[in-house]
Amino acid sequence: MAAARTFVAVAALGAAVVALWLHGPALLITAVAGFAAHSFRSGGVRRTLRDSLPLAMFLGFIAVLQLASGSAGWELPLRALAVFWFAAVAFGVLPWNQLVVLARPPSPFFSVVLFLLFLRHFALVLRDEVRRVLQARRLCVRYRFGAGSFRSLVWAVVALFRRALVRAERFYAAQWLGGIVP
Amino acid sequence: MKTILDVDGLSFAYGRKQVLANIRFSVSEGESVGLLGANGAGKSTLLWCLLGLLRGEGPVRVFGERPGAHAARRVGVVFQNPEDQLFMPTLAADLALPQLNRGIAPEQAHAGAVEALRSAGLAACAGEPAMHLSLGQRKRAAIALALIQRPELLILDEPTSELDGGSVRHLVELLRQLPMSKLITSHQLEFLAKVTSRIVVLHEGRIVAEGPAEAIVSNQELLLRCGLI
Repeated sequence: MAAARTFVAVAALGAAVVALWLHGPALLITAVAGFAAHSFRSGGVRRTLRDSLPLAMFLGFIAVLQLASGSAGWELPLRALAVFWFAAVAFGVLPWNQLVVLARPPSPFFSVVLFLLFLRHFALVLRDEVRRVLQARRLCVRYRFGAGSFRSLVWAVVALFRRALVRAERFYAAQWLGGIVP
Repeated sequence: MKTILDVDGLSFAYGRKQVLANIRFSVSEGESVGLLGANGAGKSTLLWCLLGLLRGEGPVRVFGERPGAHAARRVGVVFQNPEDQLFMPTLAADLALPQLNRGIAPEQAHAGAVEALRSAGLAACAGEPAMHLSLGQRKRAAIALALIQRPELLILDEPTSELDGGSVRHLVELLRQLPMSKLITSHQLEFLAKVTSRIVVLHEGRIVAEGPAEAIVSNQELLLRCGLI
């Protein structure tokens, strides 16, 4: 079972890496496959759409900046979403417990597993922060759309960036003190 | 008693904003010292300077050395947020990691981790990821993680934040049993009075009072001035 899960995870990670280099229809097909894989894994299209919302918001912000500079394109956001969907599948099916038992320092494999664990952990921390910020906004703003909603959303995103920086700083500090990172 | 932490005129500024000014205090072997201050008083910045994560002006000595990776090996730290320290798939793996990193055999590291969890009352959770536990349990696991490295000085940053009464009581009992020196930051007066013998009061980046814990927590005028009550 663990071997099968590892195989699926490696295949999904491979697809995420391949998506970085694709263009045009090939990228579109890969993104659709990623969306399907994520929906299958998470138990529904609605769940995939909900999970992708913070990333889609961020990508929308980037797209606005691109539009302002006259270089907007559809490939960057689609590529980012495809990588996210495949990576989420990979991280969801990897048999972490077995990997941690198999990978021991000072093997280079251990560093790879540790790096993946850092990524997974920080993604979960960010997910919780997003939930907290959006919940706080929902409690403070009377209307989801309309007066004050856009401004509150901007401040929610700013707060999220601040919190992400603080959490990243503290996480790094904790690992440094534990002698795990240089 | 031997001094293990000595701060003698430490100052620190973020750009032009002075955060710490002329901080002087020390911690002796086996002593429990509280660092009391309202939000924004500079407690966390001070801790980061003591650990070598930030470099301020003025001498700081931890076990006679400048703060840094070498001195930090003798210090156990419990962060305000246990998720900053616990990230492995299981609690046992979290606690085994620092030992594996020091070259201890996997079986021995795992046995040590399980034993440490048992001491913290978390033996049943050894196979669980930290995220599945309550905040009180996660705090205890973070303390067990700090203790597994057998520190001579234990630093706790706001250990009671977001904890309920029962969890705070468990924490007080656990901390009272630990023989090593402790430096605990908090703005909970009652908690600090129970677990420390001496309190240093920080206000707007300066030490405004220092003395026996009971005398500090009963000084209403001081606490009011520092925004602690």
